[in-house]
Amino acid sequence: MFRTLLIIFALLLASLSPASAQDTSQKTMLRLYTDKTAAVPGEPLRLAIEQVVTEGWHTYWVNPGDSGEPMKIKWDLPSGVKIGEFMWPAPSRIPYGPLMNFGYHDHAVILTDVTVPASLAAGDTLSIKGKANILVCDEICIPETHDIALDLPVAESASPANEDLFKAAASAIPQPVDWGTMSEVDANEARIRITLPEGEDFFSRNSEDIVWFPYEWGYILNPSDQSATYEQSTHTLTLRQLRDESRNVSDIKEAAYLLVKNDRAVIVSGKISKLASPVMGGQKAMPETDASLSVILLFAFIGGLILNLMPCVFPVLSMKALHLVSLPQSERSHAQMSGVMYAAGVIIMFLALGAALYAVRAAGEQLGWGFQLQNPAVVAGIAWLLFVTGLNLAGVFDLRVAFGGEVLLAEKHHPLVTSFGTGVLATLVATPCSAPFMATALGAALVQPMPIALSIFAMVGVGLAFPYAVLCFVPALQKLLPRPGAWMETFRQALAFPMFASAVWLVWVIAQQGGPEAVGWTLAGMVTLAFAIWLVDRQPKTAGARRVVTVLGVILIILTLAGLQLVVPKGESDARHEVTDNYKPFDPESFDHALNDTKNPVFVNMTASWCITCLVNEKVALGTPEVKDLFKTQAVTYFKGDWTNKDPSITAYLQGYGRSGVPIYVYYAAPDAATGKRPEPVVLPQILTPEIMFETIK
Amino acid sequence: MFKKFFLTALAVVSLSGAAMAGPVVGQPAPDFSGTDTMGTTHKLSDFKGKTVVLEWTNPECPYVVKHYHGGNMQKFQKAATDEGVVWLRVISSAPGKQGHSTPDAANTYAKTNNVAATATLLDETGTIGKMYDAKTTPHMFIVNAEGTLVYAGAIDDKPSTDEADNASASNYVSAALANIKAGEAVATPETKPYGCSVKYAD
Repeated sequence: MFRTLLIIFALLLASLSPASAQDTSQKTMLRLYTDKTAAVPGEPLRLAIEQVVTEGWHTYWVNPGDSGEPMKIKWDLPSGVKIGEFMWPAPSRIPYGPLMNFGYHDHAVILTDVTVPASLAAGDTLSIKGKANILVCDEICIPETHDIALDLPVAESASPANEDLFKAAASAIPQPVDWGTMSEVDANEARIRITLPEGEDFFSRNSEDIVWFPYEWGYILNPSDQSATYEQSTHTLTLRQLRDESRNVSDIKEAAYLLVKNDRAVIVSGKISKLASPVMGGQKAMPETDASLSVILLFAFIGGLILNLMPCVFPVLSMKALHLVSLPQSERSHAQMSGVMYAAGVIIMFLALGAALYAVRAAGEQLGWGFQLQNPAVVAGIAWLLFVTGLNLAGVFDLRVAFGGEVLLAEKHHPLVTSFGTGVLATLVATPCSAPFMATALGAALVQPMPIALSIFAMVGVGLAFPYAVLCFVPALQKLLPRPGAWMETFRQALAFPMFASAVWLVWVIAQQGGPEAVGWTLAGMVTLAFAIWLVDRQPKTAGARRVVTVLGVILIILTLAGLQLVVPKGESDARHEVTDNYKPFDPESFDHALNDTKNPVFVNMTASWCITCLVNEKVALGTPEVKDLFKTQAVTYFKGDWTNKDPSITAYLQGYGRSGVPIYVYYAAPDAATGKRPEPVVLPQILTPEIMFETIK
Repeated sequence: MFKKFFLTALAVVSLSGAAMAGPVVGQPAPDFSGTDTMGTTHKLSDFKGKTVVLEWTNPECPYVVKHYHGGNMQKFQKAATDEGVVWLRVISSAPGKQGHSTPDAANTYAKTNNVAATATLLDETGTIGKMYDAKTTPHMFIVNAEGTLVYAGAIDDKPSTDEADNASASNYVSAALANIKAGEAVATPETKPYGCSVKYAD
């Protein structure tokens, strides 16, 4: 584009005589132009300052980057005449060794507005004079001083002048836009999140072509690589660069950025906030030790063990154990292999889930563990799985009978395949139960390098598989199991109820996410599934009828599953923003406002309706009258973020504290009276008591 | 209980993965070892107990010329070293780049310009420069007696090459040294450095 401008200038030069002082030894040449043939008293006048730069040299943008200096002009103007702020065209990134500058090669036109006072009289001459200091560099830097001057007649009226030049220059000047922008910096990274308005599709397409420039210095490592990603579901653009710690960002309230893509440039601006590194219970976490990975894996293992007791997993495992009991003594040799296959099923499934999640996160999706419960269709699917498993346990139907004994045969001939399948099933039914209480742990695992993340996932799998595998390998333990008998049927039926209870809980979650519509579809799905199963289970006498009924049943099941897409989240607007009780819904803007512009303590609670720990904490600690009272007397501004459905601003907040799951509780104490700065925020434990709240807030 | 342990363990792992880039005001200053124009080796840690000023310089850079031509920088160097402050000039220009000098040339420059610094380190590999993330000439750092970085940024509040600005400039480094002497916290610990880029190798 600059090339075309140059050509235009070459043509213009022939017809117009721009006012400038020219010294051929200098590396830059400055010229002044006005957009009218004369100055009209009381009417605005636009002035262009053109820099023509010798090839190989460059001048600087308003923020020059790591070194350099933008052009400055000391004006010498008649009284009443004023020159406004400079409008700088979009610069380029100019690397120098390990440094990065922002500036112009070849050519730049800077625009500004001149106030022509009404006191000037027609027939006068408006004389604009100035001394321009401009730094021009290639390898080395030369400060140049140019005397610039322009005389313009004053007249009652004027016609446009230099139209092409002003048109081209104006199109290169970035336009400020009002796009929701928020930047966060932590010790490692600066992230700028921009919510694009409806219909803005220029910057969302090929977002990797976007280049940006901060107007403020010192918090973005200028030479570091830029990465821009666009998230379609939220219409959000995320810009990431490494953090420069030269400057404490608490000095900066609001940060502006120039976004450039091809020949379009816009200016966005918004609050900037500093996110501390994770702090535990008010103290910095322990120093690193070699044991850290083994410790973490040990706890991942224990987490997996605990999963065995979850209401959604326990029944499946019990059935597996009962199966072991019922095996004739002679076939118990299979037991060991069965244990191995079951463990393999669990671990591979966990690895697959972990790898899938890791992959979508690497692709820039804002997901954490528990993501599987942020999509109501997935929740409905798991609810149906639990419901059908419950029906099976309750004895409503028996797969082996339904499919003409084929499953039974499969179990006989391929017991190892069935064991593997049980492992996969156990992991699947475990996901809703693992989300609430392992969200934080598995979420944090995801921010680790991939091998560590996957080891943690695998270790949870090992923990889940462990009890049954041990049972298979130690005959002494098998002897401890009660002898098979009629009680087994009763026990099996009893186990259906935890399954139904889990399904009910998920339906409740769906109610939060999708409202009555989604609940309706989910429950209707349960009815059709139950009907299809009943149909298949009917077992008509003739083989032909059996086939018809089976096909009908399978079609019904497929239709039901296809109906899952009807279970959608309700409109975001009514899911959030209902202000009740003593908290405000979390949104980055009001949070930043509370933090930076008020002196009140701030408390942040990130929660989700599928997070049981969160709900318990709210019942026993946050929601109690004494804690509410405490918040009131200490004038705490309480923000509650609801992560039941996906919300990138909450995910971003969690990441700032090294988390990718809820809950998190953070307390920002009131600013110190002397320094005016808030102390480091305190991250509270995951299990809250009123005592902890009192200790923290006092 | 279980979760508490788990979280602590996770925090440990996540901390060990955190990367550090550049020196941070308020944190220990990176220790370095460098050879001066006389052939003497200096280690930052050798100066524990004393305040150390680091000045990135390049005699040919117009922003440096602004401060040396009329003796402005030398005046601050003398005032500081008279008070027992260690003032180290650092030249990180790579061979063949502007400002790179031999020990002899640097000594001649120091003599003719009445440089009053403790020593001038020749850092042609840019090792010390990159350790401090030195961006411009001049770029100033102050390390206190405990070895903590207490100031990083510009020499003063006039980012220009105009020598006439020196008279009205407010000098950040001398203000910080006065704070340190009085036992106070440095009032302005971080400013935007201005000047020519440090002429590192490409």
